[in-house]
Amino acid sequence: MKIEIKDLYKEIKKNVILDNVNITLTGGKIYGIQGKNGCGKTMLMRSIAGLVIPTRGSIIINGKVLHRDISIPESIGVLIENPSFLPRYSGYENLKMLAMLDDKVSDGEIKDLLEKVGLKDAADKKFGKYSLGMKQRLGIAAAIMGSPEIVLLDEPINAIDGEGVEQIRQLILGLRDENRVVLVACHDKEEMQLLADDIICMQQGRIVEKG
Amino acid sequence: MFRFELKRCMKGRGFKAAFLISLILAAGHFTAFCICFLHNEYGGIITDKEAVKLLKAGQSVLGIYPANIFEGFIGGEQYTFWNGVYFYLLPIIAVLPFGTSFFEDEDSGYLKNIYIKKKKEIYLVCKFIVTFISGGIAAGLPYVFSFMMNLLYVPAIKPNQLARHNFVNQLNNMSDWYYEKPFLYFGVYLLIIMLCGGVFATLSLCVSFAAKNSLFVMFFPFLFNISFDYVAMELKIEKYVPSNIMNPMMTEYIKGRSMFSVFTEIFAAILLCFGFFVVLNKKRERIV
Repeated sequence: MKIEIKDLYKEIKKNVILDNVNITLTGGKIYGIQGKNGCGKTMLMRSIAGLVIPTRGSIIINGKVLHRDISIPESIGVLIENPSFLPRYSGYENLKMLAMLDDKVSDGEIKDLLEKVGLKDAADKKFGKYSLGMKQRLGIAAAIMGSPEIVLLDEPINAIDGEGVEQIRQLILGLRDENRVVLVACHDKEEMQLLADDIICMQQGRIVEKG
Repeated sequence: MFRFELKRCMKGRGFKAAFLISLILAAGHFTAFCICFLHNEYGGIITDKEAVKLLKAGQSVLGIYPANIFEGFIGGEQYTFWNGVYFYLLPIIAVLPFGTSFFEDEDSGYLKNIYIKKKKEIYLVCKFIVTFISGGIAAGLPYVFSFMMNLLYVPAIKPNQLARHNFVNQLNNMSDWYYEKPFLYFGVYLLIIMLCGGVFATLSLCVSFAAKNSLFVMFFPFLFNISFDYVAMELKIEKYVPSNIMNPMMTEYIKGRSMFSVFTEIFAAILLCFGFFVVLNKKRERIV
């Protein structure tokens, strides 16, 4: 798995969000992105996910140009900003509905996944009644469901309690696989040191440091 | 994707609300027409039991024709106000099941989960189709429920023009079908109501991009219908108004229009809504 980002530029209403971003992400590593609020981390993730079309530049996933050869990455899971699901469905039902779109994930796998993220006891509770931490955990579960080749996690430990942070950390570390690119955005520098193999620093839409 | 949207629609509270409202309308009409009106001496029409009563009293029933189902359900009469209420509320009933779903998906950010798994166009087309179908079903439910409920009370005999207690005369559209093949007349109007209901539901999808809250999306088709009605009245083009096209009791207003032109108008509206919703939203970039 290889993602090449070349001269990525994104402008919205004359505001430059991403300014000539160039980077290559390869499978087998967990990449961390750091930067202040508004530096472009989330927009970069949205661009890789195909949720926004760049103003200029290209994103090449395994040799295929996004928005030209493919409309969306073929295998991707994302947790971007607030996790959003159907409020009148339970956590289990929400994952099952999303799994219906792919037909790749069985009921048993969904139950295992909910257990891994610490939602086994809340699986049948409606999403609308979940706490912020529980919503975050469900978002992570949805992002890693079906073992996607690209996993983008924006602030995954946000609102998670102390014990849960260790659980989620182990889960993310377990995603390291030569066929998988994992990109994690996190404000916590200590957490980033524990999770990431490479850290990318962004500022005002540009990458200022890599490594 | 289609199964996904259909499942969401059928399990949603909106569909249950539309079902409940349909039952209330049907029950309301049944009470007002079958229980109250038919037995009212000013009702102007009599049941077969009353005809027998008159005969036993030695009075003539010559020229008195019993009430029948085709002029005795919510889509067949205007003695009670229920026909007006139904067609007035129809745009809201049609939108209830799934009309606001696109707005809610976008506003909540749920679309992220879908757009990473399916192409945007597939989602938009499936959303349109399911919303259209759900709107059509919801719009037709009161019509069907009322017919079935009142059929328990009023006989299914052909209408008779000489009886002079129905609202369709020879000058109205499809009057020959009404008198000779009333079930076909019922069926054609059910189809028209369902198609119009589908159009109203998809109209709400079309305005979702401009809405700030879901109430606007829900009520827009209703407001559009009323405004169109008013403007058409001023411009004297009532024959193109959805309320007059859908309501079997308003065929006088579409006199001179062929059914082909009515269906052409409906299909043009469907294509317009489809084009506006799918093409516009495919090109529109909304950060989710």
